[in-house]
Amino acid sequence: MGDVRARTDVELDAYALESALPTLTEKLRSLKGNLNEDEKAVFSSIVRSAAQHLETLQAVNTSAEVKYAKPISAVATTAVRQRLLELPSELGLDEE
Amino acid sequence: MDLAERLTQIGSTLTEAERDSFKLLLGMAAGGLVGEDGEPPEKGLQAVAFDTTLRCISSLQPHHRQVPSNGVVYRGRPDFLTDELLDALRAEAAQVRPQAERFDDHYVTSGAPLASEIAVSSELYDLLSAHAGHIQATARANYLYYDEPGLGIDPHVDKDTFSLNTILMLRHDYDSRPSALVLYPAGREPERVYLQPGEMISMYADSIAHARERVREGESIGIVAFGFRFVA
Repeated sequence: MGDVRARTDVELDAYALESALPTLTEKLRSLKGNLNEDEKAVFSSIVRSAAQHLETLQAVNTSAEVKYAKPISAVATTAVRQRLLELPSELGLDEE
Repeated sequence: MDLAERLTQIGSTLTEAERDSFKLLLGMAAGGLVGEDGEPPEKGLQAVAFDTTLRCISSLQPHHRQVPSNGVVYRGRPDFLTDELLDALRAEAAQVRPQAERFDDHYVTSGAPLASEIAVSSELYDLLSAHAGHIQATARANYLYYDEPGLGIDPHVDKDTFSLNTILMLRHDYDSRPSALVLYPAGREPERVYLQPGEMISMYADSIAHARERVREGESIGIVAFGFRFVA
């Protein structure tokens, strides 16, 4: 088969992704501060659902002894997952 | 401006790395909000949250205006995929299956020689660029296996290297009812896609939540996924 020129340097590395989470969290915190109560409830549902789903996957992974190395997924490292698990708490959404 | 629009507006201010993490958050939210049957919540706060999540996913990427409503740019059997080539891919998938690593609820191997060759082939590139315009091969090729009952993938979105994810069905064996690839277009009912062996689908997997239904007893699926991305 003929070859095309592929670009293989497009993937963000783990450090870049992990470093982005604190600033993303700040931007989401700022957004949350400007939401009305109805919007805040929806936002909270989104953030907490993501964390709960990650927690479910973590449980599956723990029991299956999986490796976090799959290239297709953005969820590249355990550190990224951990930060997202903590996001409801960091945004003050875990008690709502 | 509603919440989806505000979240999308935030998205336009994010760095690439922040947007990737935000996309992950939204993908995980979609996975958490669907029921165990893969159906979206029908009413209440969770239904609004799910709708908001899908709308934000569909609008988050800089190339979102290029993306069809269901994300799909091509579906069919490529002319270059001869029976011999399909058999060779099946054989390679079987050969590297022992090296597959489990990730969440499925198994993956990357970078096998024949799959990698096709991932950067002019035949595949020409086919996809005719339907999607300016694209770039990322040279990623993954075999995925759903070959035990219960394996699958909950709703999620893919990272940039698979933003235009091109999936070729290699084999799908089942006893009674096959599981489906499920697409979750914003504002519409989910679409269930049943690919035949040899059939390929190419979709903007970074802009539409999608899932593989859990495989059932007696069911086994093997696919190969090729990575492409849109370039402005």
